[in-house]
Amino acid sequence: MVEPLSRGDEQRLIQRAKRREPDALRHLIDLHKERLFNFVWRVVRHHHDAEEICQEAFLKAFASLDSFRPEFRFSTWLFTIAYRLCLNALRRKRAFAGDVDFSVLPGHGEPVDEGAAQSEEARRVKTLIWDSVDRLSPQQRATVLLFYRNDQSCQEIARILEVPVATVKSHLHRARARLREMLEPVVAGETDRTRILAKLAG
Amino acid sequence: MAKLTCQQAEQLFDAYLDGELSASLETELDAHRLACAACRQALALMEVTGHMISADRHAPVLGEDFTQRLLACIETPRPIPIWRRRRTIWVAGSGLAAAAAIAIAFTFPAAPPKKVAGWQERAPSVSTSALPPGALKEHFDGQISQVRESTEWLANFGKMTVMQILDRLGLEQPNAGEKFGAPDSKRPGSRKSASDDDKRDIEDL
Repeated sequence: MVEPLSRGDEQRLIQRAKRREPDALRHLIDLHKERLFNFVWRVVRHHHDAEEICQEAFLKAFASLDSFRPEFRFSTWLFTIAYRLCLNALRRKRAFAGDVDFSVLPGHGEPVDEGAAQSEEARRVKTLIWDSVDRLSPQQRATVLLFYRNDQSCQEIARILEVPVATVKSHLHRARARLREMLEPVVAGETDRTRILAKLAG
Repeated sequence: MAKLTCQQAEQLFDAYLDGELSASLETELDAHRLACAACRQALALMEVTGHMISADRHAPVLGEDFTQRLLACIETPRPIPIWRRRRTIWVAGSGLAAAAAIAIAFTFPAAPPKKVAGWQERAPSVSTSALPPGALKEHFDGQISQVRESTEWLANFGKMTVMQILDRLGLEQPNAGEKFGAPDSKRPGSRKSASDDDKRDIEDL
């Protein structure tokens, strides 16, 4: 995992990237590629599409580095571009196949390295949760991912999704309600957070 | 303060999960969920879901050569699509416009005289064979200047506003009254300063 940069270091790196210094470009890519890919893959649920979107997002970001406003973090800008590309990709898919059912997309259920230490029950709950997340709307899914996985504040998410903060809170609220609605009947037997977490810890 | 109902407690869930609940309300919510199994379960489910989403690090990874491929793309940029080549199109368009203007000017050396009041009549066409050398040079200079004007006009056409085009055509100019006669301000619906209003409308756009 690459350590995040301080604001000053990031600005200096961007100045060098504007001069097309390969080291600076490489550093920026290495800093953000994993988190970006993780986010994009969770939104579009297709490995190849996710890679293409990440590549396009970096290329677009680098091509317009001169218009980058230093009051924002580079990651916010990059995620904004990537999010727009994700929505475009999903729209294209929808245009071809009607409403997107993520359970039948090629990326769904791609083999990932499940921790061997996890119990059957933990894996079941985890699969259940991700299946539920996949069934959220793209906006809700992006909000949930940025909030929980990327630890981004509602203000930062609002900038990335280009919507007001109130809309982000509404997405988050609706997403939680929907997740609860989907998960509650399945995990009705579990009544205590500690017990569930204990199971998840294996 | 009265005990929280389940409905009130549920309204606090989001703020609690976002860490935005005041200490006193958090205590109230804690007290409620200790006594209420349904709310305890609902909150536990949401906490676990959030925890799971944030903590699950199992996801596909990018190809190892991603950075290298990306850097190669930056070094060898893709060809620019035709619709993005505005500058090229503009330069090529100007050249074509100039060629078209020259062709038009030589095919139709002078427009036929207009009979509409207000149009300036052009000088009648003359036979160049009958002209003395000095007058011949003057005649061709005049033709060349017409071609130059037409070329510039065509080249700038795309950049002009409606008012500029009207001005260039000699219509609705501020001194249009001299050409067409003063507008009839007494006629119902007539506008005394129509061109000024048009200008304002265009500026508003």
